[in-house]
Amino acid sequence: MKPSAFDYIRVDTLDEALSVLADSNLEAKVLAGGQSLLPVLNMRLAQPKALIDINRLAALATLGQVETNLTGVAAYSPATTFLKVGALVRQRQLERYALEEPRAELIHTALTYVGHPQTRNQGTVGGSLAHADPSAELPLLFLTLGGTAIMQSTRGERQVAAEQFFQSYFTTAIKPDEMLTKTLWRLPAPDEGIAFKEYRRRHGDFALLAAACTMKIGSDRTVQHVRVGLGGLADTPLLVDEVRELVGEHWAKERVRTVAEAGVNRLDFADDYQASSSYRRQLATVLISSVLDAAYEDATAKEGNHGVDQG
Amino acid sequence: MEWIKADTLTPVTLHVNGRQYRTAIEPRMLLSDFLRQECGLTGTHVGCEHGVCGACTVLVSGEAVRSCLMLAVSVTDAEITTIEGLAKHPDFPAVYQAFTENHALQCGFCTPGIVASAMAEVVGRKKKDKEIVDVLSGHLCRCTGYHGILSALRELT
Repeated sequence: MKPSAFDYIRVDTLDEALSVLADSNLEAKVLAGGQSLLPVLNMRLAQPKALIDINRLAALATLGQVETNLTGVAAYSPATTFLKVGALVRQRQLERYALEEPRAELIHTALTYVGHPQTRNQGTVGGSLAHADPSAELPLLFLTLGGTAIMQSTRGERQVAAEQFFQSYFTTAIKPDEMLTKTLWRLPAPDEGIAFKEYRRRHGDFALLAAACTMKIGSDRTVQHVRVGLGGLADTPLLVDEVRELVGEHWAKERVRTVAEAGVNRLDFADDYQASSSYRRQLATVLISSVLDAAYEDATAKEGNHGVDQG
Repeated sequence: MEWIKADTLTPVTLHVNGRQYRTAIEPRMLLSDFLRQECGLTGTHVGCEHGVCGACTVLVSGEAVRSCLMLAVSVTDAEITTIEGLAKHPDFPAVYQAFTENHALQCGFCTPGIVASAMAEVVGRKKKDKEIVDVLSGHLCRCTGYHGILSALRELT
């Protein structure tokens, strides 16, 4: 339970980090908060030759809102508000920010499911995304909200949309010589409904399954936009495309269940030590329906509040 | 940039409980091992060594963290506080009393970590019950069933 030997490289600038990463013989791994990397090293599941400690790159530990019209997220145009999160921002830092920012409520809710306060104090947002555990909450949320990952290397800067970022178990679009430097997370509009549900054996454990939803409803109460993400099932978090069938429709509980079942029927479920495939299938249907219902309720309530404010 | 080679012993200085500890270590040494082996501060207990049990929790710059998930070389510019340091804190007698009166420990293996979390997150702060449970969820206790610890923590908010 001790790491194997590695070179330890503490960098003071981003350029230094990128130049070390560019040396392919070194096979260096980036050390940010270490809350996923250190367990892997302690158990010797990975034995990298070198670690690049980026904790002194204070410029990567900032977050704030930006208005932009990103390519690849045209569904949210014209201008959408994004939360720009430096890769070194601690999960706890984002949690405290999100507690005070109503539009980041979904981010706050999901973060309270991430590990424990003691690991969120040290664990980073960028680290969780780069680690890409398929049952982790932050990757699920990044995909569900939509956004962009920004990577840098000595070759320059590159952007990848959330939908293309996660590629397989613990595998992302980040190239070996690249470093994830910041991420942009779409913030739901003030009248958008949101929901997050997770099922796991013990609080703080990885999710058996988790689902997140954002939904916009029109003044005629029909669904205008809806997105549901599911984590813990496949090799990456995934979007349940079938829920888009609800767009333009009035809300009907039975219909929601049918759409959730249609989404689930397209997916593959496997047995593992935690649950049988039929159990997971049932759980997925319940979670998808319940985030849809909860997000619709939330959107309806927010629309009501909005009306009161105007009055 | 500072580049420390894998197998070399490199002198580092860590600030622990208001004292400076200067010793030569390998870069792979965990903070938990540094505290126990280099500083002789064996109040920090090591349970699982992969961040699950919380027994090794200490304060780094005032925040409760897992010392088994940090490299000693990476925290040379932080102030580290272990249970030995916390025991001298003015808030400690109240914590000691609350833990005693509520039967918040049996074997005591997990207790130093829980006390570290409690003093960083709970003691003297207005915390909702859910938040107290969230803090305690970061620790495994195999004896008490947690109810005694929860009662103690509730008294301390």
